[in-house]
Amino acid sequence: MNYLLHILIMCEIYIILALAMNLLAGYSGLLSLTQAAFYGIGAYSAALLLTEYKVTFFLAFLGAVGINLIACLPVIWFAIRLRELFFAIATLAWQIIVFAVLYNWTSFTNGPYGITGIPKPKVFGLSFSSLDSFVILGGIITVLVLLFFIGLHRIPLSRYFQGVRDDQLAMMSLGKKITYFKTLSVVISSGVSAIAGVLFATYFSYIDPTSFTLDESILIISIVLIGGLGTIKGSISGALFYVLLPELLRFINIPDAVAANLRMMIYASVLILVVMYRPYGFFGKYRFE
Amino acid sequence: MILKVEHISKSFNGLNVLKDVSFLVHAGTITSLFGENGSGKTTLFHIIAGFLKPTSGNVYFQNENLHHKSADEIDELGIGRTWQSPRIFKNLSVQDNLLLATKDHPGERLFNYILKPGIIWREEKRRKIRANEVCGEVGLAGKLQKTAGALSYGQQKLLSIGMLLMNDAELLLLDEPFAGVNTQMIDAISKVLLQLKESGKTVLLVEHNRSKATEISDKVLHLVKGSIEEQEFITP
Amino acid sequence: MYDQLLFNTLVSGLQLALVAVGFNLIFNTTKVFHLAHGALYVVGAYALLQFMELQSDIGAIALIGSLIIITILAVLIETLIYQPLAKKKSGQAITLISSIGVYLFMINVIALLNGNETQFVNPGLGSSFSLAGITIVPIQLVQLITAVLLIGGIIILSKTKWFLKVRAMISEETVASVLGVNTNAIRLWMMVIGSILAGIAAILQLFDTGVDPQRGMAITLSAAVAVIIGGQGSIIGTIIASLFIALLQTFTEWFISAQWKQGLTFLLLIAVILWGTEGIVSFKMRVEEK
Repeated sequence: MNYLLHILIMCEIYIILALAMNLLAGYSGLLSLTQAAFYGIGAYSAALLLTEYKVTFFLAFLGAVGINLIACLPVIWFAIRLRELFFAIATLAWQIIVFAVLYNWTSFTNGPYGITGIPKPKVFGLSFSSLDSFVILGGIITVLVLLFFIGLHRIPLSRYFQGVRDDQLAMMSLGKKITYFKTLSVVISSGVSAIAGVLFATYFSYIDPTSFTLDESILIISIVLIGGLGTIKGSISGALFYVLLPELLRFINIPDAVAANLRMMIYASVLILVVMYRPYGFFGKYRFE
Repeated sequence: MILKVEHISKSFNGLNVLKDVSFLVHAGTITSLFGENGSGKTTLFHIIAGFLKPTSGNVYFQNENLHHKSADEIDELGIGRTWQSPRIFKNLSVQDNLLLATKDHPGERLFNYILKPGIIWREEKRRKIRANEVCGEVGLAGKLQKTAGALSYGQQKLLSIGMLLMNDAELLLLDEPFAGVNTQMIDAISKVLLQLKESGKTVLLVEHNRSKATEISDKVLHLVKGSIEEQEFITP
Repeated sequence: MYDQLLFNTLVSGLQLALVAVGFNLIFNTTKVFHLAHGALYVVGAYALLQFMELQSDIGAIALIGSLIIITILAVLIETLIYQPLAKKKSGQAITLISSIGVYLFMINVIALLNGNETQFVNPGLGSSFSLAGITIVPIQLVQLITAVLLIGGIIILSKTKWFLKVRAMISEETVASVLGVNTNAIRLWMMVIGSILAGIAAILQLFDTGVDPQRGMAITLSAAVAVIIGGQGSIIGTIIASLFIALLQTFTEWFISAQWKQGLTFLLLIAVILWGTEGIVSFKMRVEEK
């Protein structure tokens, strides 16, 4: 039972990350390889606020999101004007740099030793330290994030993101400032990724930089590609597929030593097949050209 | 007179592409610009639309010199252009395409959603009504919700003209509106252009299909090796 | 002490140059940002290991066998994945993702079969010695000579008439193919040559400080930075940039910490992006002035 709850929490975290990534890739057409860095900065911000500065969960939550809104500015500064492939490379660069900072700035982040003893959330006096209560808290947060994105994709603003995705040149000749819309996408995506980071940090009570590597960024983009870009269903299904795949392997009794690699091999194969033969993924409405 | 092209010359690296081109375009008319490949007609087109600067000469739109203006400033003044391959937003509906083309929608700014959501909602409604009208004007009635990418090539061309109208463009610069479509669609597009002229819009188009374009034009300009031979027709 | 660092830099820089020139050839002809290069790099070393398990010494057979395996894999990747995507006119974002998929798959196969620990093979060349105050490990000489020979070979290749076709293809692919250049064949050749260069670098590394499955990505990323800052078309540029990056990395490792190597390499990339770009900044619409 506990294991099932653990799976649920991982689903919640990855759904949030997928929704954030989808805004960038699926709605704005930006292939970002730095989502894990945003996720990591969010997790570290929350962890430090909770352990060093001993603020309440609510403030740590807001703080992490707030810090992420600012921490993504360098990406905006150097990457946003770059075209397709080079935007991806620039975000890759940022991902590597952020990881290097998290890993090496030991005085601040404790480097590879990570941060321990992150307290479980306490909101309105209620303590969410038990597994079931955490699942519920995570669930509420996930639903709120989901509602946020459903709303975001109904307002006129979404049209402009998608215009940037579909034809930047046409947007420019219509007099629209594409930099503004790209910036907005990055900022929102970064802020939402922080929320996943907060959940991660308070769930595991321990974080270290190895959870926020380039590999993780690659995983996050794969999730939305396999699930499908440009739809909410796509993001959710992609996240569920990623979290639940190893559980399926469990049923066939694969020895644990082999399981991790096998899982990634299956996952990588699915990614390649999707790219080659089913570019819309499971439920996508948009594909990278 | 709405557009005055005055002594426009353009050279690229010593090659004289346009030599002292001058002509007038009057409001509420359709003017066609013909020329072989290499005659400079595309260059001239780009200059009027603001995507290229002339080596010398001026272009006046409603008596305003377009000289230092960028493409989006020119767009602001009421000049709209289409592209050889229709530049539409393939994954968005026809309605979204038309709405995207409008200017200064309060829904473009994030803060407006917090400060003045009511205005956004109102503008959205107003523009949707206009989009519906324009949809009909360009012969795409009933196709508002269709995904633009699913339209036929000709219908996409009509959509791109529609997008110019959403912007209240007064002068429409059309890049080969009849290219790549069948005769039925050519007739449909001609009809739309004539209706636009009827409602007071001005059209300047570049075309290879001389016969059809001449049929609907008030004036025809032939560009040969960078210079103009002009012809004038009076339409009945 | 600086002499020592510079010597080490020369050796490691030329090793990086091998991988980077390989990446350059592949990237410029196929236009794929071939992160799977890292996988083929690692395959080189691990294939050799497998051959050595079958036949317990390092013979020419094991070496050739590894190169054949690299060749087969490179050909498979190109024909099964990159070429079909190119036929569909897929953009660089798509090919990048496909390359990532290939990388993930191959690296996990290798980790599955061999585990994640660093593998090292003693080349049996004896112990290190001193020359002009610099300590030299014999394998470094092998690395130096091999790199110089191979890179020299590539440079000579780039001056041949055949390579003119490659250049034509790099700058204007459709025109080149209309003029009868067999672009598919060139792509294959470049994939094979590029991958072999990487594989050889990995084999040499196996005898130096060892190889683990993650090393491929690390060196490919540095190689990619070298190709970008060296000026995409230029082989010499790639080589010089590789040496420069190696310099940066050696000094970083010495004066700061090994862990900052990658971070600083990418900071360098960002600096170059910000202050000296051509062709990678968004849109130049087809106009000359604005």
